[in-house]
Amino acid sequence: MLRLTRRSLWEHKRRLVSTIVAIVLGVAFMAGTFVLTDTLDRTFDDLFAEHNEDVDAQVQGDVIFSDPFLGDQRQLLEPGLVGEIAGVEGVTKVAPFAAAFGFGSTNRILDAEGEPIGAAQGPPTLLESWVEDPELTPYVVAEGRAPAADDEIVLNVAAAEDGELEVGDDVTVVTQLGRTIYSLVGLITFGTAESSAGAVSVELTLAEAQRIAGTGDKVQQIFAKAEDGVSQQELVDRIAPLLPPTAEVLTAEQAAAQISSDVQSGFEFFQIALQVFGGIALLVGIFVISNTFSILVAQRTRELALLRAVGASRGQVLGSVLLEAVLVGAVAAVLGLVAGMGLAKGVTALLEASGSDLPTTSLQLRPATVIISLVIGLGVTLIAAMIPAIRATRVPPLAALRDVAIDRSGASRLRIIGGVVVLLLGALNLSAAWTSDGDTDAIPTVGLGAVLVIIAAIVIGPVLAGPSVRTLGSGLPLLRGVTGRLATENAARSPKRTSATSSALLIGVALVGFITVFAASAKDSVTAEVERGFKGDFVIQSDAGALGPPSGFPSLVAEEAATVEGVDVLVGVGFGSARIRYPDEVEVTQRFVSIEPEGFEEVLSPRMVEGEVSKLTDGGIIVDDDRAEDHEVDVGDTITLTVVGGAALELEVQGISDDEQLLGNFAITRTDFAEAVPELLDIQVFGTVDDGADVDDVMAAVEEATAGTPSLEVLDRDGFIGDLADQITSFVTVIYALLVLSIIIALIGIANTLSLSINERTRELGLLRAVGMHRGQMRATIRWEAVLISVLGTLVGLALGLGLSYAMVQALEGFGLTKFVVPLGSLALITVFAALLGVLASLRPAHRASRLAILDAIATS
Amino acid sequence: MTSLTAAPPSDGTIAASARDAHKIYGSGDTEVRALDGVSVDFEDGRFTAIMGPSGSGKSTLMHCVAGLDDLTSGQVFIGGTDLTSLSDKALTKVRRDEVGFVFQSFNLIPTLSALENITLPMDLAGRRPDQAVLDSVIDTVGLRDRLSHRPSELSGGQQQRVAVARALAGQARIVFADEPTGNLDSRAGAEILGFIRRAVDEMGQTVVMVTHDPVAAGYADRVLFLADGKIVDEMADPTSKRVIDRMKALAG
Repeated sequence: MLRLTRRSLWEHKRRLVSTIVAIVLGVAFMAGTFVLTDTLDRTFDDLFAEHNEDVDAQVQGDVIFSDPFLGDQRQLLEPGLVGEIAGVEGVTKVAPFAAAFGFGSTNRILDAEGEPIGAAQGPPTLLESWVEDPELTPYVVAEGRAPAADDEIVLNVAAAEDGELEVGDDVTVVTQLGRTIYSLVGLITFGTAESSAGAVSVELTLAEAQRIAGTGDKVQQIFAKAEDGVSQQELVDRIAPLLPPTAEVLTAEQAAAQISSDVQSGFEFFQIALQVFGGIALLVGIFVISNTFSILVAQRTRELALLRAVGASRGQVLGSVLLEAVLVGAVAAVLGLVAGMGLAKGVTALLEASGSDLPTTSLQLRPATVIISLVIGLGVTLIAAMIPAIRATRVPPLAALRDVAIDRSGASRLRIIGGVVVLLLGALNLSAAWTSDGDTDAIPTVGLGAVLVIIAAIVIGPVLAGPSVRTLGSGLPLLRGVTGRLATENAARSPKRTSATSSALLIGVALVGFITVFAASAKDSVTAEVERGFKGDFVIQSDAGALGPPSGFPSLVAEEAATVEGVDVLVGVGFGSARIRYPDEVEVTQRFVSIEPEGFEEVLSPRMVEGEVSKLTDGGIIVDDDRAEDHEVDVGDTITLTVVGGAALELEVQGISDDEQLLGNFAITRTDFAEAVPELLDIQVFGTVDDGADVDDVMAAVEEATAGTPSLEVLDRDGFIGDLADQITSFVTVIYALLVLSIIIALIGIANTLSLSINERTRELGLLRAVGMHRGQMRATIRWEAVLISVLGTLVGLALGLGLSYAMVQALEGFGLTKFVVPLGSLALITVFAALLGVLASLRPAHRASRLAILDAIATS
Repeated sequence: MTSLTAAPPSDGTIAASARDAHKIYGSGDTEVRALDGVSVDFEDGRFTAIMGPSGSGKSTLMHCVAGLDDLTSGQVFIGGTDLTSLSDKALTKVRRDEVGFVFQSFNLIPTLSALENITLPMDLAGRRPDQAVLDSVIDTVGLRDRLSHRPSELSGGQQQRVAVARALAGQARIVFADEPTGNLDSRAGAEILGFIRRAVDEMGQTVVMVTHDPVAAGYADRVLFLADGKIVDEMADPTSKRVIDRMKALAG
């Protein structure tokens, strides 16, 4: 049996190559993600281990809350603690530490031209207090000296080179406090590297770092070094009793691991996204592989029957088909693993090229990655081959003596019933979209419904494929004569095969269609919301971070803009995260906005359920109606916000809003916010111009007045709306790019099915050639068959995508998705594109069919 | 036949011909001379049967003259056209417009109806069939009530009748039939041969038929006998008995 399997593999090597490609791509995506993750993990582990090389113990405050973008927010430490720790027996050195984190428009250092150093997105700028003792800092002074006065700074070598700055130059730093000019007194290296993983390191005196970070006289961390003979753990044990309950002490190893995991959690979303798309690719791959094995088994019916006739047991037949699958899966998994490493290498090379100066670590291939890749590759192939293999065992020995019948099954009662049941289940889940009351809880249910509906479509597919293809192709004979007629009949003759082939495409297209319609609806909804809510003439915002967190900028910008002649009303809106305690004692981490109640409604028109924005006073808060409903919040209740730095605000509910676009989940006054947090940042400043003033002129003047702050943009109404639409577009583009993988696999599936069908039809094709079909007509027949299959998959996929996005828009109506738009142009374009992909997939099979030797074809008997 | 020279056939009376046709498969020890210098003319309006034992080259001769296979050396003509010099496209056009085929089995496209199979070569050419000819052919083979059926819904004899109708409906210059009755019972076979005979007599159709069945050969106007790639004998106005006697003589 083993020899037979091997022979059979060799016989069908070309088919199997395309099968392998489907698995290889999926596994490569998965394995690549794992390798990349492990490599980055290792890189950061190395980096932070080096960072804290000589620190034995690290003291820091407890986590107040975690922001998905900004990471852990911690309690601050009293300055007196530094001295107490220094007095602990066995401690030789102690250093306090404070730092601020910069990106976008805030906490950036400007080069000689006034442009910020470093990328807007990517490695951050670190404004840190200088640690004097060389044993407690990873930095080494390479030129000049350390900062000694509050107006002196030191920069890492790479950043200074990037900004063309030299020791002795005056350097501008933009913080939330405004612009400050420092004297550059020295350059540092990170160990021997010119930067710490591409970050811009700015070293200041402790007092200046505390001022910028807004910690007052408190510090964020305290580093300690033990004398020889005292272990890290012993040191930690001795320090721990001194600490207040809101602080913790870690060994250097623990601290390094913690930082490194903090940084890595920033990559989590990225990793999950890649794995989801890899999973989709593998799912699509299952269809392609299953189809290939089905056809191979069908073509070998006689051979299998002969085996059964001469005494092979069912088990042996099953074994031979599954063994084939195991061999194919193993080869594909190994190739996928190798390709995945290549992919990871490519991404790290890309990261290096983009300027993040990561220390080079060789690719990390953990045993787990190898095992998971092999298991996935083998598992997917085996699952896909299982049904065809079982079908192979059902071949009766007598089939060896009969002509091979064309597979006409597909419309079985069981299939119809099963499909309808799954469809109803899906519809039931989808109906949650209409019954939900503006809650995110409905989304998983709607998602499950979507998956079920797609499964139902795939189950019922073989029943409907024949009639659908005939309907689709009904116009073809008029257009293409007998060639079109043959193409239609060929696509319809084996409904199960056609259905499985187009299902592979259906999945990818349903997702593309879903995203396309959803994005168009989101764009229109956002536009409508902005047109309703924004009455002003212009907006100032940071141009960094379309996909990341909104980047804030100092309130200085609003002050500067206010001085411009022609500016009438100017309203800054800030943004922060906080630990929020509802009156029902439930605590969550949420975003909130800070507003200026006075003038707010002159520029913006928020929807209120109760109360008025202009009546919001210090000590008050406005709560979104959905939050209020969930937690039974009424006007007059008290809500507690614990903000960055640890301050807790007790706020009285003064209004209930229904406008997450403008007022977020919670809105408080700027004054309250400014008092509570170290960093008061605006994320947007909305303005109107005086009557008669020219908006463009005023905007140009505002731009000039605020030019000192980097990465700002001033947009008029159209620009602002366009900017929001652009953000959606760039998000959609990323998803399209990731879905391309599954579409490519589906394409391979179409090519594969066509090749196998052509093998089956060798005699028929030979006959056609004999009675006068020329090669061009032969190619056209195959081409149109491919187009019909791909257009079928596309149309069903788009229909599903359309329906699902309709459900999703309904489910998210409470989040401002008020419009449902069907972008007919885009959908038509997708269909044409799919037809072209079908043509592409048919190229090779069509070429081979047209080159068949006529005599070989008709002489086969 | 050896008396024929290598001059091109005179137009008008000769539908197809071969001149010094050689077809060699393999080389060295495994060399097989399927055709070893065959020259033959097929005259207009005549029904020729080609006979010979297995491996005599009779099918190869038919394939080469019909433009389905190429020669190692020599020439074949359909009408006045030298097929050996034609491109694949031109050759396909000759087969489509000048030649009709009836094969032993698997003659029809399973996805097309009987009528669509009959008109297939003309559909491929984008040409409308001559309705009068089509009607008469369909009535001759008695398929009027089966036109919308798929091949799988027809008996073997009916399928061969569709194939014959296809070969005749396009008014091809010459029809090649390769063992057309090989898979049929004797009654259905006699029917098919009767249709072919009528086409020759009533429509002046030229037919070349490869067969190993002396009864089938008895329907022809003349019989060519092939052995080892050469034409070894010829008989005019054969009967099945005379054919059997001649074959016995050749074998002896």
